[in-house]
Amino acid sequence: MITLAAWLALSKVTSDDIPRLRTILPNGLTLLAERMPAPYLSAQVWMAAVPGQETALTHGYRHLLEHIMARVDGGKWDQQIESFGGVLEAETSREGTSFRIRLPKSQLPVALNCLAAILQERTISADEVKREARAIYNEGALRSSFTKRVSLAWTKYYGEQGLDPFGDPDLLANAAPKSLEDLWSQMLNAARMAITVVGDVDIDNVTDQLKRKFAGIEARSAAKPVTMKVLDVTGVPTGIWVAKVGSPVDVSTAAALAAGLAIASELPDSFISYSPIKTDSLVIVGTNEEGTDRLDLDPDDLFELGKRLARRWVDRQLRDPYQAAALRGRLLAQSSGLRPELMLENIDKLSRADFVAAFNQFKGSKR
Amino acid sequence: MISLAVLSAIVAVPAPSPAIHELVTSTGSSYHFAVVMSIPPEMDDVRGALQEAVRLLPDGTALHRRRSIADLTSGRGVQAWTTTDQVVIRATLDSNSLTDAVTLAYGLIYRPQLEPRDAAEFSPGWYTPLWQRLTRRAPTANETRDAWHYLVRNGKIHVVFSGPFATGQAQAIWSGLTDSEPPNTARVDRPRPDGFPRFPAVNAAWLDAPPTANPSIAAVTAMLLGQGKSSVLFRVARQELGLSYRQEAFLWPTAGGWQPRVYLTSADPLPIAKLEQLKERMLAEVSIWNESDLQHAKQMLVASISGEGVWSPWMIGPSGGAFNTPEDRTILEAFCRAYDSKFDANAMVALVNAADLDAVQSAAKAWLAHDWQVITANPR
Repeated sequence: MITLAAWLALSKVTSDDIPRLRTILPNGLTLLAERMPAPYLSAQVWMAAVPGQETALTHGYRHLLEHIMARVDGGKWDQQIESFGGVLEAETSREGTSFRIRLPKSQLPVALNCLAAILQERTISADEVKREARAIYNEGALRSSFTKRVSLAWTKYYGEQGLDPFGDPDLLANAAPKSLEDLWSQMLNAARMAITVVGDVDIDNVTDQLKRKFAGIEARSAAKPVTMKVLDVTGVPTGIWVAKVGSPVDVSTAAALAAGLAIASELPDSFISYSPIKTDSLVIVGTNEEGTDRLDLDPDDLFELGKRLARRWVDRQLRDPYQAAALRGRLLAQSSGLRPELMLENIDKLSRADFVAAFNQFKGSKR
Repeated sequence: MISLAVLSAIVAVPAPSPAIHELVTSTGSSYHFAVVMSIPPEMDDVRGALQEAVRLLPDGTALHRRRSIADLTSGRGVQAWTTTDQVVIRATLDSNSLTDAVTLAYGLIYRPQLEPRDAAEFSPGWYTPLWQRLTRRAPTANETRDAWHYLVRNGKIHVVFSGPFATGQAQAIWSGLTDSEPPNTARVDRPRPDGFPRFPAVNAAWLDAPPTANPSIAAVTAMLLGQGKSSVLFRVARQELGLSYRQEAFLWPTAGGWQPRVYLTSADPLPIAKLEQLKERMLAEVSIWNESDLQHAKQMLVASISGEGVWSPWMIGPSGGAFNTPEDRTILEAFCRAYDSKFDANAMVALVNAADLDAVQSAAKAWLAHDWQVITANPR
């Protein structure tokens, strides 16, 4: 058990004149309430992953747990949420696991009750494992070529430490329920969780409700993050370019996002992938065009465009309750100091030299 | 089938003018457009070339390079896709300039770049164009361009612009462009029957009912059959039979109205026997629907029309169902205009609320009476 000093920090963070209240509870749980005019609200829980901890024998377990836990009470919550037109969604990414609810703004109690029901320890049956492993097997058929190449790039860079959290369906079908229950207990760690509510809400009232509901979640000693070790930075799969970055609030990350978006704007059928992980991550830009491996572009020419696109990309996330709750949640679960506004500040002060360095990193990944 | 000589004669005449529609909004600063182009039936055997043109369309126009499009759309780009019998183009611009939006729409229709580039692996995504099962080979660059120009000359085109502008302004800008950048009148040869080389790496099965221009009952039925995790399809196809990860019932836009469609994808081939078992189970579920189920579906649907909910039966494109956003309202309007209708949210809510259980159950049974169609592509 981690002992957290009584750093009950109640800090009102205001930026862009949007009322927003971040609260850190004594158990380490970070809460965020934000008022944004919209006919619906989003309430989300984010559980930070421990970087590099998925192994060849367990990768995909978080994904399988996400599937199982999202079916809390056998679908009773889905029925209730959907009757209001809302949705409960879940996602497993490299940076964490999330459960995200969207509901009309009058239905906050339903959202919070559902999240509280998910965040419980419970017994997992072999039937649930089998059923959801089968669903993941079918989910795999919908994965795009782009997603697969992004996965390849991660394992090229980090080997087993870069394994895709999507997992191996064959491995998942044979997962022991007890192993999954143990992993879920570890994930239910208040110190590595954030709960975010964004919508047309009273932020003080929402924060009070969140405190009452979730103050009892335990803080646990988190597994120590593994230092991600880069194996190889060259020869990434065809049609993609990679830049290694640090924290989401590093200037180099802002530069890589700007350069990546600018490069993508010049490529046909382009895509860009970024997992905002606190320690190490990759920005990956690519194209579905076959046989494209050259970047005959002038970074100087792309600098201003890249800055604009990066700023608008972050801005756009922050204008929608669902997207804002997601971006803030995925950052806050990893560290209560991570804020999208810091990303925006970095983008605004980005220098041409930083941009060119990031561009050259993408270009160099093909050598 | 119309002969080549007749088609060549048709393309020599000037392109017909598209119908321009305006949805003026009082709020927001972005401009949206949606283009819906009906595909003439005689193009059925050149759908591969047409699909290739649609794939290349977002690359740029003679008036806008790719970079400029990325800038105008904040990196979102232009989306273009095909439905059963229509080509759809949409974009949202943050440039605060209606002229940019109108010029981009105009350029995409009349001045597309259509520079050939290698065919990518086809995305195994959710809404795979169904014509692809018929295809054989890659179209040439000329076939691709000819298919596009033929479509522009012979398909009915509806363009909807929305955003905070004065009534008549979009039409005026469009008319100015027609004068300064008149549509290309070069002769267009009819493309040869062709194909597209790639297949989606996914197995899909679908079941269609005839299109309807009055889709309120079909919309409620779609909610109960296949929208959400409480729907019949999720509970039976995914959870009970383990057939699929994604499965939905929705209304698919066609030039004649909204076509009810059940659709599911699987990692494994989908044998008809298994699909018939699914249909049998679905019919059993339909027969026990009650007033509470009906109410549930109506609430979901009304919430989506009002903007509070996320479940929508109006499947407008690759990104999914239509919601009450300016972008989606623009394209919904374009689809409805294509069959001489309008999307009236209040009237739709009234019709949905008036739907009774017998009518919905009957619609579901009639829908499920149709046969399954299956694509098995890139089998493992």
